[in-house]
Amino acid sequence: MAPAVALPVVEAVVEAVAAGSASNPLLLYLKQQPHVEGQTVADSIAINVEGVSKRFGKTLALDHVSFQVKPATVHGFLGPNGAGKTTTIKLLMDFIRPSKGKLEILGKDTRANSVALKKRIGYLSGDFELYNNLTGSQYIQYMSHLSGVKNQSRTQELVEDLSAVMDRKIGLLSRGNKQKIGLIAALMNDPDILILDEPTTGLDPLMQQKFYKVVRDHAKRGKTVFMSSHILSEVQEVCDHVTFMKKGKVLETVEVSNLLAKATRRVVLTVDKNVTMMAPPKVLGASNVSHTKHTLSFDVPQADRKVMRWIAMQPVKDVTINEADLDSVFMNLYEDEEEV
Amino acid sequence: MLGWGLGAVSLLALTAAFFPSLSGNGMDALVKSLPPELEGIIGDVEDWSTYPGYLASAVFGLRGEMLFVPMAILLGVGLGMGDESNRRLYQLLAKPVSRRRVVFERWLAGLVVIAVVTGIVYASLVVVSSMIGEDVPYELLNGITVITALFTAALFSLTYGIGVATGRKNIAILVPVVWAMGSLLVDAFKLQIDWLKDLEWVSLLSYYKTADLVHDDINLNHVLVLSCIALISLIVALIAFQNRDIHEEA
Repeated sequence: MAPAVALPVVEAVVEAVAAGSASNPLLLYLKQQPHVEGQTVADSIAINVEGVSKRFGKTLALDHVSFQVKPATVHGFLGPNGAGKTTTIKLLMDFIRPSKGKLEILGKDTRANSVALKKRIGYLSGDFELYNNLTGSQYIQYMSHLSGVKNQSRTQELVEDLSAVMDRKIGLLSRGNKQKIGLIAALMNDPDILILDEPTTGLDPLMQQKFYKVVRDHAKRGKTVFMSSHILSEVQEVCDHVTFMKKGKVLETVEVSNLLAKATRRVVLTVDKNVTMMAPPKVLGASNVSHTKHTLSFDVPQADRKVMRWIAMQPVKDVTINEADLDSVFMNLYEDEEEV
Repeated sequence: MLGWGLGAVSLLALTAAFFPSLSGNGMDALVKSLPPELEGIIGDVEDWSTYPGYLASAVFGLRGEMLFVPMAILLGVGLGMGDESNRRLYQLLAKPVSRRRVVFERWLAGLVVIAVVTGIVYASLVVVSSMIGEDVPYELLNGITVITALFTAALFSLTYGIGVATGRKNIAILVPVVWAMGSLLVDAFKLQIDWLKDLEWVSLLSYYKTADLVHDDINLNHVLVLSCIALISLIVALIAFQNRDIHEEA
């Protein structure tokens, strides 16, 4: 059996041989090997959306949307309602067709390879509907049949992990329990790409945490998760990267950790009555300065030594420094765009 | 659909079971009381005095249309639009199933339902005929069952085809209902209004003449027209569904 060789390596060798600069027998051997099935140059990109527009009648729902999702990461897709998140996901799933642009999953066109790709994709939407007359087991059996899943060990594992109720009719189950069945159906084929559209809609906090764990575990196993949400804390909790959307356009795609590192910290100083405090000096780079009778609040790029030293010299009774969260970053981004 | 099937069986079987009490003087009086203009809808009323004629005209002539037209439309809308309007189609198409497979298999499922319902109606009429002491007119029953199944399949396919092709439930219901109602009007008034006779070929019901089967064999042209409606509807559905967006609100 031919060894699994990454295609970019083979291509580099081929180019080198063509250029006459490679006489190494190993390199020549590599050139003769057939491509490993499913492995393409685009394997370094799990999802590629390029210049995609979608028009519904006179409404332009997506306007030249482009972004990429790296493999083995959890990628958040964030934006307010009506931003175009669900439309993009429906395009990726080939439920609707683009007016313009290119959509690829694992290097393959989502429309031309729709059926083949869906063997490697799991999908769940927060507002999905199931067959209410079937029990959870019957539904999963039906979905297994459609997916061609013969080995039920992964399904059993998920049923146990999520404590899913499988023997009652779906119509009698709570939203959370239905969602568990939907998640099992999405993960039963151990998909390389898991696409989730606002998946925690209607779930209680406990169930949300269980859900996040399943998503993180899936990514840890080298799989890619693409997840839309309008809940910032959710994205912050599980995502490695995030694409911000607004009014059908991509604002930015960033690494969550970088974004948070760059975000400002909110400093709140509490003072005693009748104590007057001076505004922070310019050298601290403070912004959004505000006063009340007992407090002085401002944002700083970092709560570094310079800031701490200045605070130490103030007649403060209490100090609070809030860690940056995605909410404030998103709001800044959102406001900036509004001004533009 | 099971309820509808049981309803159809009960109504048709019960109507057939009334034949002994209507035959003889009762039937003669009934036949004489009916205006000859009704022939457009129920066939030759003179045929009612025989059991085969009664089956073809009184049992199937009007009641058949009343039962099988709504059944075909409901079945077409249910199978064609049910999952899309309930948002269940997303979960189905998220699996490795082609759109063409979904359309074709659901169409086949519709045909199976129609075959089962018409089969049960056939069996129940055989039983009822024996129970009331009449000879079972097998040849006539075979013909009626085949043309009823074909007529229902054509109307089901039309509804299903329009629904699947457009993704719009209201259009899928409106078109066959208007066609069926228009056909009924053409059939009812063609004997009184001359120019309506020229439009008879447009009438869907003119291809479902159970009363004619008392004297004639199945009209192969009718079989061909009904089969063509079913197949063309399926082909249109297959092509259109492959190329359209799944609608949020069907």
